[in-house]
Amino acid sequence: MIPLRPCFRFLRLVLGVLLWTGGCGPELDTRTALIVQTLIDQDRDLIATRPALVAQKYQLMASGLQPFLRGTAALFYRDLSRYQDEQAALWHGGGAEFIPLYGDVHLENVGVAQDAEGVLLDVVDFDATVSGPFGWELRRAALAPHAALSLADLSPAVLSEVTRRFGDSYVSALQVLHRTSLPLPLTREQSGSAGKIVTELLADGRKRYQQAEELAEYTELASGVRRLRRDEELIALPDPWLRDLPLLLDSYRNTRRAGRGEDAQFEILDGVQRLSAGVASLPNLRFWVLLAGDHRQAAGAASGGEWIVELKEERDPPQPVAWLGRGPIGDNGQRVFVGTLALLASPSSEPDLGHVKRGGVSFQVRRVLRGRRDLDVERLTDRLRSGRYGASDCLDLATTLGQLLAAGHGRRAKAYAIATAIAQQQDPAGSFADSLAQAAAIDAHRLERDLLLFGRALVQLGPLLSARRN
Amino acid sequence: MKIILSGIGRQRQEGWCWPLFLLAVVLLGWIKEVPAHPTRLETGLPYSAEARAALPIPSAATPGQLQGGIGPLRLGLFGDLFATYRLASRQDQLFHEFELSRIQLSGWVSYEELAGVNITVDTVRSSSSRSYFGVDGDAILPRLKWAFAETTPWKHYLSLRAGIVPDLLLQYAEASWGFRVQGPTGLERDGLFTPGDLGAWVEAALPGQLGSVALQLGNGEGISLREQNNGKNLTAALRVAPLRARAPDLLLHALFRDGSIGAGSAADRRVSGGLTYAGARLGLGAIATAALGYRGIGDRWAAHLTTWLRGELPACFALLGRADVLWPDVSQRDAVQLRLIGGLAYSLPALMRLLISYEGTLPFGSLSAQVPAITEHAFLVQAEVRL
Repeated sequence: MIPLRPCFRFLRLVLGVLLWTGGCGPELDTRTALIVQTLIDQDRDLIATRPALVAQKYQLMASGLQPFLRGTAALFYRDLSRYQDEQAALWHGGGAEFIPLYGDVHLENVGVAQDAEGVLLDVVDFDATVSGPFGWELRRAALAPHAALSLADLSPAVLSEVTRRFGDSYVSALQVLHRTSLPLPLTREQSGSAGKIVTELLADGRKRYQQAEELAEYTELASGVRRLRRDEELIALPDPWLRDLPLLLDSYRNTRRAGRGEDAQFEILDGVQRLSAGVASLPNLRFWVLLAGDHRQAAGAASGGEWIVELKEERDPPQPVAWLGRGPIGDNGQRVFVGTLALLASPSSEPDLGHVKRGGVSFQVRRVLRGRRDLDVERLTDRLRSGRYGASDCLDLATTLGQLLAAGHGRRAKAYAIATAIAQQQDPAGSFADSLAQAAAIDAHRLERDLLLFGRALVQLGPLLSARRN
Repeated sequence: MKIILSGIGRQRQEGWCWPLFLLAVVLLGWIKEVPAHPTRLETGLPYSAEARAALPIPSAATPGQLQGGIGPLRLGLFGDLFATYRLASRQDQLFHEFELSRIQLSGWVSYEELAGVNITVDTVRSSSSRSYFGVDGDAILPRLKWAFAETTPWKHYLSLRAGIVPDLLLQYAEASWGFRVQGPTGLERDGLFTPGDLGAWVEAALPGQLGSVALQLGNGEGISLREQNNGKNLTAALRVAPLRARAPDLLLHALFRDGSIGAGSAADRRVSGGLTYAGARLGLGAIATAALGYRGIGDRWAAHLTTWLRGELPACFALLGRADVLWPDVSQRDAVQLRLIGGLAYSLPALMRLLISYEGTLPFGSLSAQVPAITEHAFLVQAEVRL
C-alpha cells in the first residue's frame, strides 16, 4: 500500500519549487541570448579570475561599432558555422579548405611592419590565426572595412563598391600569383599604387620606427637608469610573474625567430603589466619587459639601445576549430607563432617573435614598436569626414587589402585552389565581388543590430552579463 | 572472470606466439557463448522478478559480473575501455590517429535493494572544443559522468535519484545500440541530449508491468557546466513495454523536455518518441526528436531521426548499422545532414570486442555550402574491453 499523504506532500513540494524557479531572471530575445551566451562561453574563466577587466572589455565593446566588431569575432564565426541559416553559405572547395588564415582582419589589425628594407604594409595582429577554409576569412575581412567606413557616413553604394573592389582585387591577385608563381610585390611607401590612406600610414610608421618612439613614450630616465613608466596603463608586475620573468625570458629565447642572441641583450632592466590594450584581448595578460639591448647606454645619449618586449597571453581562437577535423594542435602561443610565420608578408620582419608557456598560460612574445601603427578607425573616420580622404581613397585601400589577403592565402601554392573554388561557386546572377558585397552588407546590418541588443543586455543584465563569477 | 584472466596469463607464460594465440582465441570464441550486448545498470527501474527470470543467464564472461556482498551491502564495479584507430578524410585533410576514446568505470553500492549509490567516472580530453590547450597540454582526464544516490523504497515500482543523474532517454538508446565504442549515439553527437545532468528524478512503474513514467528536474547544463541561469529543465518521460515482463527491454518511449540553456536562458526544448529493443542478440531502435532551441539558438526548430540495428551472427560476429538524420533548421527542409555507420564486430571471450566500422557524414541542400565542410569519411578499428 502506498502511503498517499507523504506522496502528495512531496508532489506539492516539487510544484512549489517549479513555480519558484520558473520565470526568474529577465527574459531575453533569442538573438540577445545567443550573443550573451557566446561571449560568456568565450570568457568564462576570465569572468571568474579577472572580472573587472572583462567588464571593462564589455563596456568598451558597447561604446561603438568598431570595438564591438573587434570583440565579437567568436559570435561572427558562430553565425557562419554549421547549422546556421542559408546566409552562412561560403565559398570553399578542394585544396582550399585548410589554409593558414589571419583569423580576424579588421582595419585595426592591419598596419605597418618593418623588415630589413624598411617599412611595409602587413597584418600586425595574428592572435586569431588558424588554418581553415578561406571563405571564413574573406567574409570577415569584407565586413571589417564595410563596418569601419560606415562610421564616416559613406553611402551604401560607396560601401558596396568598396567591398566589390576588395573582392575583385583579391581574385585578381590570386590569378597573378597562380600565373606567375612568384610572390606579389610588398606594399611599401614608394609602391605608388597603395593609395593615399596606406601611403600616409606607412610614412607615419616609418617616422616612429626611426625615432624608436616606444622608448620615449613608455620609458623614463631616473638617475641615469632607464625604466618603464608607471601609470594607469602600466602597473607593477605582480608575483608570481615578476619572480618568473627571468625563466620566461630564457624560455622565450629558445623559440625566438632570430635565435637566442647574446645574453647581454636580454638583461632585464624592468618589467610591468600593461592594461587596457586591445578589445577582444583586453583582459589578457600583457607583460612588458625592458631589456638592455645591444649596448649599454652611452653617456649623454638619449637612448642606449634598450628595447621592450611584450609577452601577450594568447587564448583560444574565435573560430570553432573543433569542426575543422584536426582538433587541437599545440598551444595557443605556438599556434600564433606558426601562423604568423606562415603569413608574414616579408620573411625578414618580426625577428624577435617567439612564444613561451608557463603556469598554464601561453604567451606570444614580440618587440614593442610604436612604429607598428595600425589603421586607426577613429582617425580614418575623422579624415573622411573632414574631406582629407575621399571615396576613391577608400577604394584604393580596399584594393590594397585584397592584395594583402591574397598574398597571404596564396602562399604555399594555394592560389589555384582558391581561385578555382571561387570560380566554381560563382553565382550566375552576379560576380563573386557582388555576392561578397551583398554578404558584407548583411553582416554589417547584423552587427549594428547586435550592438544595439548587446548595449541593452549590458544595461539589463549588468557589467558581466549576469554570468556566474564562481 | 578470475579464471579467464589467469588463463590468459598462463598462455603468455607458455610462450605461444601471437598468431597461434589469436587463432586459439577465435576457436574458443566459436565455442563459447559470449553475448555482445553490454550490461548497463544505470538505466531505469530495476527489473521485476518475472522480468528478471526471463533474462538470459549471464555467463562468467558477461560484463557486469564483478560484484559481491558485504553483510547487507552489495558492491559492484563495471566499466569499459575503448581503444581506437581512426582514419578520417575531412576538410582536405587525411588524418589518422590512435586514441583512447574512453575509459569508463562505475562503482555502485546498494543496501538490500532499498538504497544505493552509483559513481561513474569517464575520461575526456582536457581542452574544450575550441581550445588549443587544456591540462598539461591536452591530457586525458577523468571526470564525473554520473554520481547519484538512489532509493527504490517500493520494490521495482518506485525509484528516486538525485545527483548527476543519467538522461531519461539516452541510456536506453545506448543500451539498445550496444556499440557505444563506435562513438556516441546520434542523439548525443548531434547535440540533442547530454548523458547526464545535475538534478533529481522520480520514476514510477505503470500497473501490470506495462512500463514506467519518469519526471526529472535538473539544471539543464549537462555534465560539463554548473548552472548558468535560474530556469530549471523539466523532463517527463513515458516508457511503455508492450510485451510486459516477456520482453521488458522492448520499449516505446515518449519524452518531453521544457528547458533552457546558458546565461542567456535560450530555449532548449525537446519532444522525442520512438522504440528501442535491447536484447542479448539483437538490438534495434528508432527515435525521432523535435527541438525548439538548437545549439544555443532559442528560436530554432530542429529535427532528428536516428535508427539502428545490431544483430549477432554465428561465431561471435555481429553486424551493426545506424543512420542519423539531422535537420538543423526545419524551415529549410532540404538542408539535411546524414550520418551512416556500418560495421562488423567480433566478440572475444575475455570481455573484449573488436570492431571495424565505416562512418560517413554527408550534407545535403544548403548544408553542403557551409564551412567547415560537413562531409567526412572515417574508417575505424577499435577494441573494447568491458568489465
